[in-house]
Amino acid sequence: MAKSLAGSEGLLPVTDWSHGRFGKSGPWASPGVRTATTLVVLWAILLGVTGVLDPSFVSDEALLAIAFNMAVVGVLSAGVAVLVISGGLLDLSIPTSTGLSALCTAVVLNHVGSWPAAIAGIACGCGIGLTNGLLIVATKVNPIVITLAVNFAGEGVLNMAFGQEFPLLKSGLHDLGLSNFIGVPTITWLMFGVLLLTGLGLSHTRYGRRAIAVGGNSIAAKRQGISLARARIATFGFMGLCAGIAGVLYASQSQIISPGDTSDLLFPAITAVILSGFSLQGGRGSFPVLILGIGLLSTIPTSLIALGATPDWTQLAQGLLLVFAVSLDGFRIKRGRR
Amino acid sequence: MIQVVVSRAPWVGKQLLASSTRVLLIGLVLLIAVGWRLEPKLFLTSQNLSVFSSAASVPMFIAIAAAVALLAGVVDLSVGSMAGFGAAVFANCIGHGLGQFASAGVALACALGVGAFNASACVFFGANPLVVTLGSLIGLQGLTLIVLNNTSEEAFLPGLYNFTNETWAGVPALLLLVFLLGVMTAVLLAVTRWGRHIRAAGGDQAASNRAGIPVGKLQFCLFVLTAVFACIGGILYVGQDGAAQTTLGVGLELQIYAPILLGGYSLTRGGVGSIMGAVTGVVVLEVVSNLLDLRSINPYWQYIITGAVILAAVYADVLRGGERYE
Repeated sequence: MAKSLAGSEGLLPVTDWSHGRFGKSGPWASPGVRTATTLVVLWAILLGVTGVLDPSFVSDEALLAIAFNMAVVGVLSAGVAVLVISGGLLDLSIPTSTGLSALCTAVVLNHVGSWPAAIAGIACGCGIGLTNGLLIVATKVNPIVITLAVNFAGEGVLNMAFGQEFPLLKSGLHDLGLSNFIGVPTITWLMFGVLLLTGLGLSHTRYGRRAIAVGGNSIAAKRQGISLARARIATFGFMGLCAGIAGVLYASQSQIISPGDTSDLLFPAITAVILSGFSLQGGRGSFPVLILGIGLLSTIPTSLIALGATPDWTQLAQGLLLVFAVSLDGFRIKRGRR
Repeated sequence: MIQVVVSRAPWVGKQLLASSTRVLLIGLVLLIAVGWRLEPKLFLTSQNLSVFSSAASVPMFIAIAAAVALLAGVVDLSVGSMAGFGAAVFANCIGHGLGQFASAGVALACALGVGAFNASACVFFGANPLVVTLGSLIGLQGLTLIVLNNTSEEAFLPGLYNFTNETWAGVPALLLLVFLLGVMTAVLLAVTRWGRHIRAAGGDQAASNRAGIPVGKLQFCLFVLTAVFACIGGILYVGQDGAAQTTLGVGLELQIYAPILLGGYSLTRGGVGSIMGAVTGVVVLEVVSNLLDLRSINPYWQYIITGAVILAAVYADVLRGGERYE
């Protein structure tokens, strides 16, 4: 049932706060529940193995490091998830949009104050996202290619505008970024808030349902009078908004920012989304499962370091996981077509 | 009476000088004129030619393989990292006392593995090649750092160094050889059956499959070929620099794919483009970079220019009637 509704032929694909409920024979038949179980098991194995091999890993510090990492990756994933669900493929300009907004935040923070800094950072991210959307709608070029080029050009701008390193002064934003609330960093709560709002917004607002409709079957959506161009600009703008928020969160917890800092945020964000069962074909995916994916992906760097591996191993692991996730997705699409 | 329609093979000259290549060549001439006007004492010198050669030869070499692969619809964004990884493995083997050829063999074996890995994800599982090779891009960067232990590995080989820096009558030998390889590839693609199969496989997969062309196998082989060429490129870099650096090959993929796109290719469909266009594209982009260097302009402008070139080239493809996104 879920498949026929969410497949590429369906008119109005469902978003999946309800993914598990419509399984043909109990919840186990649903891909959402299977993905979720697999992710939980993988996450548990990773935490367990690291905990056994290095008992100091199960400390507040390591878990806090994971929570901080999760906050930034999670907010980015919310944007990527909306993009993928709406069939917008991917945004590869995340490193520069996040980096530029983090640096904007830093500059304004040191010269003006906390609130203007947050607004400037978010506005900067939105600007890049909207630029991507407008370019895609205007040129009709594949979003992956457009954002790849924008990222490359943006890297040049980032390096020319900000030079090497940028120290951050103490401020209200910093106090917020480093504070805890019920034992969990405040920014992680913020991330959960963004995810919850995004998930509810997708399934419960007109705009969200339009985004899903466009992703499930763009031609049918167009026939129903939904403007594809507007949907694209909106979803890429939302991606930019998320990148802006992520940039502000990143700046709020760092002492020094340098232009290359955010380059390793792209892969965990994308991989978390695809691994959680969001299909690159669009139209399907589940936000509760996404939280598990984000958790797994942000645990990897910390636990690899706890196991004594250098950060290079993290890159290798992330690359392999991304290839695995995309292959799985491709295989499902291929099987679905048959 | 059965009528047999035999389509004639396209004229070889058309393959060598497609219309997009001609436009590029005019651009190149203008660019050289501008360069000569701006830097009359530095630009058209034999010294600058050898600088240009050491910057352009290897990207051009890899671009030839990548262009053939792209003709069949195979995109491999991990070529840059593969070059870096190949260089790292090669230098590391030399450092462990292996001979030149044995080291090259090990590096090439690694390239075969990487190519097969990319290919199986894309061909057998039907995954999006852009995303898969992006994954292997970051994975290979990690592997390079692991192999090199986060420092650059010295490996000075006199034979290889001389080969990469040799000049024949004032012309850098490597550049000349790579250019000839490009011409040869273009001719072979035009006149052989394999060449036509490659172009057909990229043009329409389903139709080629029905016509009996083994599209999957062909694409698999081209993934491997691209990885192997990237690896050889990496080895040549080791010869040039006398070491394998950790940053070798970072961003090289766009330095390769931007000129290929300039040469009339499309990233989202195969079957269009000409090898000589790609080769000319590399020359154009490297001349621009060379000019930026000579005038000591901030090298990050190169990033912005490359990004803009990619955008312009893909937009041109859409205008030519390439695949439109929605």
